[in-house]
Amino acid sequence: MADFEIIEEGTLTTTSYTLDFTSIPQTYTHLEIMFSARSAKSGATTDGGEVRVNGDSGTNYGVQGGYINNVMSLNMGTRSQIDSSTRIMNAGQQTGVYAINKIMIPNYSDTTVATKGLLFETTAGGPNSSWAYWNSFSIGFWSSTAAINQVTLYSESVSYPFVAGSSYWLGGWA
Amino acid sequence: MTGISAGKTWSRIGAEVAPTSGAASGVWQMQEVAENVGAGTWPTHIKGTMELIGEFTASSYPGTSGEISFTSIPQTYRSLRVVMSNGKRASSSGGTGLTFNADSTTSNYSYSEFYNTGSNSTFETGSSIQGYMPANSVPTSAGSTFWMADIMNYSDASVGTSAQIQYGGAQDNSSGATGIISFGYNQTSAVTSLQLKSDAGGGYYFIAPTVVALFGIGIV
Repeated sequence: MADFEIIEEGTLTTTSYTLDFTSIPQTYTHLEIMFSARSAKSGATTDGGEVRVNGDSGTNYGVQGGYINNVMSLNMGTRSQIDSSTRIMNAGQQTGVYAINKIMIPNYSDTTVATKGLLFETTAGGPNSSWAYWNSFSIGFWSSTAAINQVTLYSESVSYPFVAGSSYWLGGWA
Repeated sequence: MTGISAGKTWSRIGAEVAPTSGAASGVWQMQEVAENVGAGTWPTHIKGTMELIGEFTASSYPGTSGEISFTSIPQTYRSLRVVMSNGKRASSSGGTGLTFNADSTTSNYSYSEFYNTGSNSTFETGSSIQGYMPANSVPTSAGSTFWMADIMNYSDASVGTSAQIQYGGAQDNSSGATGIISFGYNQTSAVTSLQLKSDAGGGYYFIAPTVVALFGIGIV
């Protein structure tokens, strides 16, 4: 096995509400995801995306972190997804520019620990203060002893899916 | 289809059909496998990896120009990652900038940055060629800077190019900076070269032990 391998990757040629990584091999020590995101929603703004693991829609998630000069609250075990830890650039932002999101998932295949952590780094912003911006660090939690074999990234809503040109890869580190 | 390819002096056992990324039935020569893996017509879950495209070290800096340029970037990767480790320059102050395709038109770029120096946290935005780095973040004496940029979908000429930049620098436990930057380039062209600038040049050129490496990730 190479030290780093791409497991799944692509660039959207049409809109999609989700980026879904399924059947993730259990052979790596940790996972890394990079994706660029933009939607057709109007406004020079950004919106948050959601993340779910293994298709679990139960209230088994939490999130904590900070963006610019504010904080994301921790509501462990009360959320049905990790919300707002990823970001999507909306259509009124600078032409052709996408939000960039990075996710690290250590020890994802462990079946003994009760909570998995997903580390997020997100950047989205325009050239001056009249454009909305969002730079953040956060960690999302998923309460389960199950190994992670699926990660699903959601756009802000079905009405505003990821647009063409949004690009992604999932890599595994040995 | 005859022989499918590679240098045969034959032998085929049973029927063979041209391989695809989903299936490869039949018996194959090693050379045929290599050819088809390279062409993306061989079934594997591995879509690509991370490869070193180029690297600048003390023996390869471009003099005192203050600019390191990676040119002729292959258009075969999904994304790029630039990593500067042990970053230092000949004088302090100013930022570290990034341009694509040697385009220095300020209005083609945008950034929004959240950074911290000492006890102060600052947010700023701008149209600039700078992936801004505050003063002393590339120190002249002890300490050094880590700087990394992830550049997504750079070879797609139908959209602009976007990057996420992170950095951290410290000097003698007395000053430093950490930051995270959203960086955008609004020109719909593939990125074939990138320039990492130690401020605007002048006396701020990179010095040893700075190492700057460019990696390609995945396969388009």
